[in-house]
Amino acid sequence: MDRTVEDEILVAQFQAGHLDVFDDLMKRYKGQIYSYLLRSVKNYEDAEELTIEVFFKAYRALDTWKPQARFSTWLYKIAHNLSIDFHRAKSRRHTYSLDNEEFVLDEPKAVDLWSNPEWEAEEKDRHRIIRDAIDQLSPKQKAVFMLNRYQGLQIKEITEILGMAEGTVKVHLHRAIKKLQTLLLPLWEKNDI
Amino acid sequence: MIQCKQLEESYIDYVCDLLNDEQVARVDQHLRRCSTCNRKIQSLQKTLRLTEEAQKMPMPPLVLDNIERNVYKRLATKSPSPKPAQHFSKYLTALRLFSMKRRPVWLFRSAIATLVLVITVSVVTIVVNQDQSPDNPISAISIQSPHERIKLYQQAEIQNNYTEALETRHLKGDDRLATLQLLVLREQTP
Repeated sequence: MDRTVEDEILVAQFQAGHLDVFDDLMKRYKGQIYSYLLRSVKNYEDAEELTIEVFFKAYRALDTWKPQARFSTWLYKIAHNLSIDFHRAKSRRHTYSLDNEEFVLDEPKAVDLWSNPEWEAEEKDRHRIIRDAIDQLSPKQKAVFMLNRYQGLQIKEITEILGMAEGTVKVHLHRAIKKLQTLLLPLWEKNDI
Repeated sequence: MIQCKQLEESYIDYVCDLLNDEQVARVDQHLRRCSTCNRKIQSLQKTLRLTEEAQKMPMPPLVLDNIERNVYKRLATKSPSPKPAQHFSKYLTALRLFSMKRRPVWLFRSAIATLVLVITVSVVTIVVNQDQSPDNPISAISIQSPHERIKLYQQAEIQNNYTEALETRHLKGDDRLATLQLLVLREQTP
Protein backbone atom coordinates (compact mmCIF):
# COMPACT_ATOMS: atom_id res chain seq x y z
CA MET A 1 0.00 0.00 0.00
CA ASP A 2 1.14 3.55 -0.77
CA ARG A 3 2.76 5.19 2.26
CA THR A 4 0.56 8.27 1.92
CA VAL A 5 -2.57 6.13 2.06
CA GLU A 6 -1.21 4.24 5.07
CA ASP A 7 -0.62 7.55 6.87
CA GLU A 8 -4.15 8.70 6.13
CA ILE A 9 -5.56 5.45 7.50
CA LEU A 10 -3.54 5.82 10.69
CA VAL A 11 -4.64 9.43 11.12
CA ALA A 12 -8.27 8.43 10.58
CA GLN A 13 -7.87 5.76 13.28
CA PHE A 14 -6.37 8.34 15.61
CA GLN A 15 -9.26 10.72 14.97
CA ALA A 16 -11.67 7.86 15.67
CA GLY A 17 -10.15 7.53 19.13
CA HIS A 18 -7.38 4.93 18.68
CA LEU A 19 -4.66 7.12 20.11
CA ASP A 20 -2.15 4.24 20.10
CA VAL A 21 -1.56 4.68 16.38
CA PHE A 22 0.33 7.90 17.08
CA ASP A 23 3.22 5.62 18.04
CA ASP A 24 3.33 4.23 14.51
CA LEU A 25 3.22 7.68 12.96
CA MET A 26 6.00 8.91 15.22
CA LYS A 27 8.19 5.86 14.50
CA ARG A 28 7.84 6.50 10.78
CA TYR A 29 8.90 10.10 10.74
CA LYS A 30 10.93 10.93 13.83
CA GLY A 31 14.20 10.02 12.09
CA GLN A 32 13.50 12.16 9.06
CA ILE A 33 12.30 15.14 11.06
CA TYR A 34 15.24 14.89 13.45
CA SER A 35 17.80 14.74 10.61
CA TYR A 36 16.18 17.72 8.88
CA LEU A 37 16.23 19.79 12.07
CA LEU A 38 19.78 18.67 12.86
CA ARG A 39 20.95 19.99 9.49
CA SER A 40 19.05 23.19 10.09
CA VAL A 41 20.18 24.04 13.65
CA LYS A 42 23.48 22.08 13.67
CA ASN A 43 23.23 21.14 17.33
CA TYR A 44 22.15 17.76 18.73
CA GLU A 45 20.32 19.05 21.79
CA ASP A 46 18.41 21.77 19.95
CA ALA A 47 17.47 19.36 17.18
CA GLU A 48 16.17 16.87 19.73
CA GLU A 49 14.19 19.55 21.55
CA LEU A 50 12.66 20.84 18.33
CA THR A 51 11.76 17.33 17.17
CA ILE A 52 9.93 16.73 20.46
CA GLU A 53 8.09 20.00 19.90
CA VAL A 54 7.11 18.94 16.35
CA PHE A 55 5.44 15.75 17.53
CA PHE A 56 3.94 17.45 20.56
CA LYS A 57 2.24 19.98 18.28
CA ALA A 58 1.28 17.25 15.82
CA TYR A 59 -0.43 15.20 18.55
CA ARG A 60 -2.37 18.25 19.74
CA ALA A 61 -3.49 19.25 16.26
CA LEU A 62 -4.05 15.81 14.73
CA ASP A 63 -7.76 15.77 15.56
CA THR A 64 -8.36 18.56 13.08
CA TRP A 65 -5.95 17.41 10.34
CA LYS A 66 -7.50 16.95 6.91
CA PRO A 67 -5.92 15.05 4.02
CA GLN A 68 -5.49 18.11 1.81
CA ALA A 69 -1.75 17.51 1.86
CA ARG A 70 0.36 14.53 2.83
CA PHE A 71 0.82 13.87 6.52
CA SER A 72 4.61 13.96 6.05
CA THR A 73 4.35 17.33 4.32
CA TRP A 74 2.36 18.66 7.27
CA LEU A 75 5.02 17.42 9.71
CA TYR A 76 7.80 19.02 7.69
CA LYS A 77 5.86 22.28 7.65
CA ILE A 78 5.69 22.27 11.45
CA ALA A 79 9.41 21.44 11.60
CA HIS A 80 10.31 24.17 9.13
CA ASN A 81 8.31 26.80 11.02
CA LEU A 82 9.93 25.79 14.31
CA SER A 83 13.39 26.01 12.78
CA ILE A 84 12.61 29.51 11.48
CA ASP A 85 11.48 30.57 14.97
CA PHE A 86 14.63 29.03 16.41
CA HIS A 87 16.91 30.95 14.07
CA ARG A 88 15.02 34.20 14.71
CA ALA A 89 15.33 33.77 18.46
CA LYS A 90 19.01 32.95 18.09
CA SER A 91 19.71 36.03 15.98
CA ARG A 92 17.79 38.22 18.48
CA ARG A 93 20.02 36.92 21.29
CA HIS A 94 23.11 37.73 19.25
CA THR A 95 21.81 41.19 18.28
CA TYR A 96 20.85 42.09 21.83
CA SER A 97 24.18 41.04 23.22
CA LEU A 98 25.97 43.30 20.75
CA ASP A 99 24.00 46.29 22.08
CA ASN A 100 24.25 45.43 25.74
CA GLU A 101 27.61 44.40 27.06
CA GLU A 102 26.12 42.95 30.25
CA PHE A 103 24.70 40.00 28.33
CA VAL A 104 26.89 37.18 27.17
CA LEU A 105 26.46 35.47 23.84
CA ASP A 106 25.28 31.88 23.98
CA GLU A 107 28.35 29.71 24.13
CA PRO A 108 28.48 26.96 21.50
CA LYS A 109 27.27 23.75 23.03
CA ALA A 110 29.74 20.93 23.57
CA VAL A 111 27.86 18.57 21.27
CA ASP A 112 28.16 20.65 18.13
CA LEU A 113 27.68 18.73 14.94
CA TRP A 114 31.25 18.93 13.75
CA SER A 115 32.91 17.92 16.99
CA ASN A 116 32.32 14.19 16.50
CA PRO A 117 35.69 12.58 17.33
CA GLU A 118 34.96 9.49 15.27
CA TRP A 119 35.48 11.21 11.96
CA GLU A 120 38.78 11.14 10.13
CA ALA A 121 40.39 14.56 10.13
CA GLU A 122 40.50 14.82 6.36
CA GLU A 123 36.94 13.68 5.98
CA LYS A 124 35.85 16.23 8.57
CA ASP A 125 37.68 18.96 6.73
CA ARG A 126 36.14 18.04 3.40
CA HIS A 127 32.65 17.80 4.82
CA ARG A 128 33.15 21.07 6.65
CA ILE A 129 33.98 22.78 3.35
CA ILE A 130 30.85 21.34 1.76
CA ARG A 131 28.65 22.32 4.70
CA ASP A 132 30.18 25.80 4.76
CA ALA A 133 29.26 26.15 1.11
CA ILE A 134 25.67 25.10 1.82
CA ASP A 135 25.55 27.60 4.70
CA GLN A 136 26.40 30.37 2.26
CA LEU A 137 23.11 29.84 0.46
CA SER A 138 20.28 32.19 1.32
CA PRO A 139 17.79 30.75 3.88
CA LYS A 140 15.20 29.99 1.20
CA GLN A 141 17.74 28.45 -1.18
CA LYS A 142 19.11 26.34 1.65
CA ALA A 143 15.65 25.19 2.75
CA VAL A 144 14.65 24.21 -0.80
CA PHE A 145 17.99 22.48 -1.44
CA MET A 146 17.92 20.47 1.81
CA LEU A 147 14.30 19.42 1.44
CA ASN A 148 14.81 18.28 -2.15
CA ARG A 149 18.29 16.78 -2.08
CA TYR A 150 18.61 15.56 1.53
CA GLN A 151 15.06 14.81 2.57
CA GLY A 152 14.07 13.59 -0.91
CA LEU A 153 10.89 15.63 -1.15
CA GLN A 154 9.23 16.47 -4.46
CA ILE A 155 8.83 20.05 -5.67
CA LYS A 156 5.08 19.96 -5.03
CA GLU A 157 5.62 18.97 -1.40
CA ILE A 158 8.20 21.71 -0.95
CA THR A 159 5.71 24.29 -2.29
CA GLU A 160 3.27 23.25 0.45
CA ILE A 161 5.87 23.24 3.20
CA LEU A 162 7.39 26.60 2.36
CA GLY A 163 4.25 28.28 1.05
CA MET A 164 5.82 29.14 -2.31
CA ALA A 165 4.75 28.71 -5.91
CA GLU A 166 6.29 25.83 -7.86
CA GLY A 167 8.19 28.20 -10.13
CA THR A 168 9.67 30.01 -7.12
CA VAL A 169 10.84 26.74 -5.58
CA LYS A 170 12.55 25.76 -8.82
CA VAL A 171 14.23 29.15 -9.08
CA HIS A 172 15.62 28.78 -5.56
CA LEU A 173 16.82 25.26 -6.32
CA HIS A 174 18.52 26.38 -9.52
CA ARG A 175 20.25 29.28 -7.81
CA ALA A 176 21.34 27.06 -4.94
CA ILE A 177 22.93 24.49 -7.21
CA LYS A 178 24.64 27.11 -9.39
CA LYS A 179 26.08 28.79 -6.31
CA LEU A 180 27.28 25.47 -4.92
CA GLN A 181 28.83 24.63 -8.26
CA THR A 182 30.96 27.78 -8.02
CA LEU A 183 31.83 27.33 -4.35
CA LEU A 184 32.73 23.64 -4.64
CA LEU A 185 34.63 23.86 -7.94
CA PRO A 186 38.08 23.93 -6.24
CA LEU A 187 37.13 20.85 -4.23
CA TRP A 188 36.10 18.62 -7.07
CA GLU A 189 38.87 19.80 -9.31
CA LYS A 190 41.37 18.84 -6.61
CA ASN A 191 39.86 15.38 -6.06
CA ASP A 192 38.69 13.75 -9.26
CA ILE A 193 35.07 12.94 -8.36
CA MET B 1 24.29 26.28 -30.59
CA ILE B 2 20.77 27.64 -30.43
CA GLN B 3 19.64 24.33 -29.10
CA CYS B 4 22.41 24.44 -26.46
CA LYS B 5 21.08 27.75 -25.14
CA GLN B 6 17.50 26.52 -25.24
CA LEU B 7 18.31 23.32 -23.38
CA GLU B 8 20.79 24.78 -20.90
CA GLU B 9 17.91 26.10 -18.76
CA SER B 10 16.74 22.56 -18.20
CA TYR B 11 20.11 20.98 -17.26
CA ILE B 12 19.62 21.47 -13.51
CA ASP B 13 16.15 19.95 -13.76
CA TYR B 14 17.72 17.11 -15.74
CA VAL B 15 20.32 16.25 -13.08
CA CYS B 16 17.70 16.63 -10.33
CA ASP B 17 15.25 14.24 -12.12
CA LEU B 18 12.62 16.92 -12.49
CA LEU B 19 11.96 16.48 -16.22
CA ASN B 20 9.32 14.28 -17.80
CA ASP B 21 10.27 11.39 -20.11
CA GLU B 22 9.89 13.43 -23.29
CA GLN B 23 12.11 16.22 -21.99
CA VAL B 24 14.72 13.74 -20.78
CA ALA B 25 14.80 12.07 -24.19
CA ARG B 26 15.33 15.45 -25.88
CA VAL B 27 18.25 16.32 -23.60
CA ASP B 28 19.78 12.84 -24.01
CA GLN B 29 19.61 13.19 -27.78
CA HIS B 30 21.40 16.55 -27.63
CA LEU B 31 24.05 15.30 -25.19
CA ARG B 32 24.97 12.49 -27.62
CA ARG B 33 26.11 15.17 -30.07
CA CYS B 34 27.34 18.05 -27.90
CA SER B 35 30.49 17.61 -25.80
CA THR B 36 30.26 21.14 -24.35
CA CYS B 37 26.84 20.47 -22.89
CA ASN B 38 28.07 17.09 -21.73
CA ARG B 39 30.79 18.80 -19.68
CA LYS B 40 28.21 21.15 -18.18
CA ILE B 41 26.04 18.22 -17.12
CA GLN B 42 29.05 16.42 -15.62
CA SER B 43 29.99 19.54 -13.68
CA LEU B 44 26.50 19.71 -12.19
CA GLN B 45 26.52 16.01 -11.37
CA LYS B 46 29.89 16.31 -9.61
CA THR B 47 28.55 19.20 -7.52
CA LEU B 48 25.56 17.16 -6.43
CA ARG B 49 27.73 14.12 -5.66
CA LEU B 50 29.87 16.28 -3.39
CA THR B 51 26.86 17.61 -1.49
CA GLU B 52 25.61 14.05 -1.07
CA GLU B 53 28.92 13.14 0.60
CA ALA B 54 28.12 15.56 3.39
CA GLN B 55 24.57 14.25 3.69
CA LYS B 56 25.32 11.53 6.21
CA MET B 57 24.88 12.83 9.75
CA PRO B 58 26.28 11.06 12.82
CA MET B 59 23.35 10.52 15.15
CA PRO B 60 23.77 10.04 18.92
CA PRO B 61 22.58 6.61 20.08
CA LEU B 62 19.15 6.34 21.72
CA VAL B 63 18.21 9.87 20.61
CA LEU B 64 15.17 8.63 18.72
CA ASP B 65 13.97 6.64 21.76
CA ASN B 66 14.45 9.72 23.94
CA ILE B 67 12.36 11.77 21.54
CA GLU B 68 9.46 9.36 21.77
CA ARG B 69 9.52 9.21 25.56
CA ASN B 70 9.82 12.97 25.97
CA VAL B 71 6.92 13.67 23.63
CA TYR B 72 4.61 11.72 25.94
CA LYS B 73 6.10 13.34 29.04
CA ARG B 74 5.41 16.75 27.59
CA LEU B 75 1.86 15.76 26.66
CA ALA B 76 1.31 14.60 30.24
CA THR B 77 2.54 17.79 31.89
CA LYS B 78 0.73 20.11 29.51
CA SER B 79 -2.56 18.22 29.30
CA PRO B 80 -5.57 20.39 30.21
CA SER B 81 -6.97 19.74 33.75
CA PRO B 82 -10.27 17.82 33.93
CA LYS B 83 -12.13 20.77 35.44
CA PRO B 84 -12.03 24.34 34.19
CA ALA B 85 -9.45 26.58 35.91
CA GLN B 86 -12.00 29.21 36.95
CA HIS B 87 -13.43 26.86 39.59
CA PHE B 88 -10.23 27.24 41.57
CA SER B 89 -10.63 31.02 41.72
CA LYS B 90 -14.15 30.52 43.16
CA TYR B 91 -12.75 28.28 45.89
CA LEU B 92 -10.03 30.80 46.61
CA THR B 93 -12.52 33.67 46.87
CA ALA B 94 -14.81 31.60 49.11
CA LEU B 95 -11.90 30.67 51.34
CA ARG B 96 -10.78 34.28 51.64
CA LEU B 97 -14.27 35.49 52.50
CA PHE B 98 -14.72 32.67 54.99
CA SER B 99 -11.44 33.42 56.73
CA MET B 100 -12.13 37.17 56.79
CA LYS B 101 -15.44 36.82 58.67
CA ARG B 102 -15.38 36.38 62.44
CA ARG B 103 -16.05 32.69 62.88
CA PRO B 104 -14.96 30.20 65.52
CA VAL B 105 -11.49 28.86 64.81
CA TRP B 106 -12.62 25.29 65.48
CA LEU B 107 -15.09 25.50 62.56
CA PHE B 108 -12.36 26.57 60.16
CA ARG B 109 -10.00 23.84 61.31
CA SER B 110 -12.60 21.10 61.10
CA ALA B 111 -13.45 22.16 57.52
CA ILE B 112 -9.81 21.85 56.54
CA ALA B 113 -9.49 18.51 58.29
CA THR B 114 -12.48 17.17 56.32
CA LEU B 115 -10.96 18.40 53.08
CA VAL B 116 -7.62 16.79 53.85
CA LEU B 117 -9.35 13.52 54.64
CA VAL B 118 -11.15 13.49 51.29
CA ILE B 119 -7.95 14.23 49.40
CA THR B 120 -5.99 11.62 51.34
CA VAL B 121 -8.50 8.94 50.38
CA SER B 122 -8.22 9.98 46.70
CA VAL B 123 -4.43 9.91 46.73
CA VAL B 124 -4.28 6.54 48.50
CA THR B 125 -6.49 5.15 45.75
CA ILE B 126 -4.04 6.46 43.16
CA VAL B 127 -1.05 4.98 45.05
CA VAL B 128 -2.76 1.59 45.31
CA ASN B 129 -3.37 1.61 41.56
CA GLN B 130 0.27 2.47 40.96
CA ASP B 131 1.38 -0.48 43.17
CA GLN B 132 -0.48 -2.83 40.88
CA SER B 133 1.61 -1.78 37.93
CA PRO B 134 4.60 -3.93 36.85
CA ASP B 135 7.78 -3.76 38.99
CA ASN B 136 9.91 -2.14 36.37
CA PRO B 137 8.38 1.27 35.64
CA ILE B 138 10.55 1.80 32.59
CA SER B 139 9.47 -1.42 30.89
CA ALA B 140 5.89 -0.71 31.94
CA ILE B 141 6.04 2.62 30.20
CA SER B 142 7.58 1.11 27.12
CA ILE B 143 4.85 -1.50 26.64
CA GLN B 144 1.90 0.71 27.52
CA SER B 145 -0.14 2.67 25.02
CA PRO B 146 0.45 6.42 24.60
CA HIS B 147 -2.77 7.21 26.49
CA GLU B 148 -1.72 5.07 29.43
CA ARG B 149 1.70 6.63 29.45
CA ILE B 150 0.24 10.12 29.57
CA LYS B 151 -1.98 9.07 32.49
CA LEU B 152 0.99 7.62 34.35
CA TYR B 153 2.96 10.85 34.07
CA GLN B 154 -0.11 12.85 35.20
CA GLN B 155 -0.47 10.68 38.31
CA ALA B 156 3.20 11.14 39.16
CA GLU B 157 2.71 14.90 38.87
CA ILE B 158 -0.30 14.75 41.23
CA GLN B 159 1.69 12.74 43.77
CA ASN B 160 4.51 15.29 43.66
CA ASN B 161 2.03 18.13 44.26
CA TYR B 162 0.45 16.31 47.21
CA THR B 163 3.84 15.71 48.82
CA GLU B 164 4.69 19.38 48.37
CA ALA B 165 1.40 20.44 50.00
CA LEU B 166 2.02 18.24 53.04
CA GLU B 167 5.54 19.63 53.38
CA THR B 168 4.14 23.16 53.27
CA ARG B 169 1.76 22.31 56.08
CA HIS B 170 4.05 20.38 58.42
CA LEU B 171 7.45 21.82 57.74
CA LYS B 172 6.58 25.44 57.03
CA GLY B 173 3.51 25.58 59.30
CA ASP B 174 1.56 27.40 56.64
CA ASP B 175 -1.96 25.99 56.95
CA ARG B 176 -3.51 28.42 54.57
CA LEU B 177 -1.07 27.85 51.73
CA ALA B 178 -1.26 24.11 52.25
CA THR B 179 -5.05 24.27 51.97
CA LEU B 180 -4.81 26.15 48.69
CA GLN B 181 -2.34 23.63 47.31
CA LEU B 182 -4.59 20.77 48.32
CA LEU B 183 -7.53 22.47 46.59
CA VAL B 184 -5.52 22.63 43.36
CA LEU B 185 -4.58 18.99 43.82
CA ARG B 186 -8.23 18.05 44.24
CA GLU B 187 -9.03 19.67 40.89
CA GLN B 188 -6.22 17.78 39.18
CA THR B 189 -7.27 14.42 40.56
CA PRO B 190 -9.50 12.70 37.99
